Amino acid sequence: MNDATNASTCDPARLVDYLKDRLSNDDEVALTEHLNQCAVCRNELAIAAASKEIWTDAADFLKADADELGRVLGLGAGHDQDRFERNTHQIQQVLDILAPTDDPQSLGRLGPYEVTGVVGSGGMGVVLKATEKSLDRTVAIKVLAPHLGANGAA
Amino acid sequence: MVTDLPNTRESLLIRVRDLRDRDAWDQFVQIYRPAVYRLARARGLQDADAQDLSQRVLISVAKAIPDWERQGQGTKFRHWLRRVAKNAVVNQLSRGPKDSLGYLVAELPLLQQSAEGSSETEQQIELEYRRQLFRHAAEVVRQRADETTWQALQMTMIDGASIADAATRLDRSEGVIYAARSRIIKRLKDVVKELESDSDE
Repeated sequence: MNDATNASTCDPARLVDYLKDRLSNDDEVALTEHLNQCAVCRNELAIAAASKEIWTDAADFLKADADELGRVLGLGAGHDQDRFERNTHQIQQVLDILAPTDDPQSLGRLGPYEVTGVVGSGGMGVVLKATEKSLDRTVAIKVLAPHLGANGAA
Repeated sequence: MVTDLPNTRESLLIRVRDLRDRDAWDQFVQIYRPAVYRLARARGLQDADAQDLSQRVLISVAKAIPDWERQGQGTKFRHWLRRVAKNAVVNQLSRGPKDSLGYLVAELPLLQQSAEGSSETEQQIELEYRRQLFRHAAEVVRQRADETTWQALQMTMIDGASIADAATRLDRSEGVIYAARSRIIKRLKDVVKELESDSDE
């Protein structure tokens, strides 16, 4: 192909070759110059690249991803730190409501249970490790987060 | 993408004999876990509970794998995984968190899920799976593409910029933008197809 036809000719085979990475650099440049002027080939290229359904799905599925993508790129680095602080605060709130205890092993009492530790904390609340003295068994107690417990809807 | 979820536990948990199936499993976990997580969040679960649920779905699927191996493997592993996982999601969501944790549970807001919701759940998990499939493929494509080519797609299809805007911002002609985003979509399509088919095909 000579350069004069490259920039001006509509050539479906060239579109396919481009998509399959089979064009030389010069030919790619010529194609993009052609696409500057030729709406028909722009459209043909889009059709050859993928079905309409794929184009639509890609737009829908990736669009909602924009904020998550930002997180992957490090734009939302504060996220985990926030969560950590929220969880710590939440654990403290739960520990604050425990009743006093005589047991040096225990963090406090919750009803019939001696709370001996914190198993974990999440969006809903805090899971505590506790001992039920009368039956001498270990239990896990899930306590609803104070901010949810105070909320009638939860 | 929810990439910060721990996934070592599943890898340890599963003992698939065939290495090819093992790859299929790893890939399945990468795509399915965030899909379940997102569905759970959409149903109103908090972060920790949604993570917990996606973990339980994967564990129940992993536990079923010996059944598949005993059955003589009439179905392709990847397809079998999808089917079993879908059932597991429906089960977990209709059961609610109460009896599955083994904790002594204080009164928790229960997940409302009625019987007629199960086919709706199936459709939703299929949708979330496809969404995650595209996102996963997009990451693969992005890593292999040069930045300008990717940005041509990102700006015009994700950020909502016009072709002319993208051309100005990337300092390229509009023809370059048109060409680049078609190329990216083609690659995206190819990767999605590859992920959906078995690697030995």
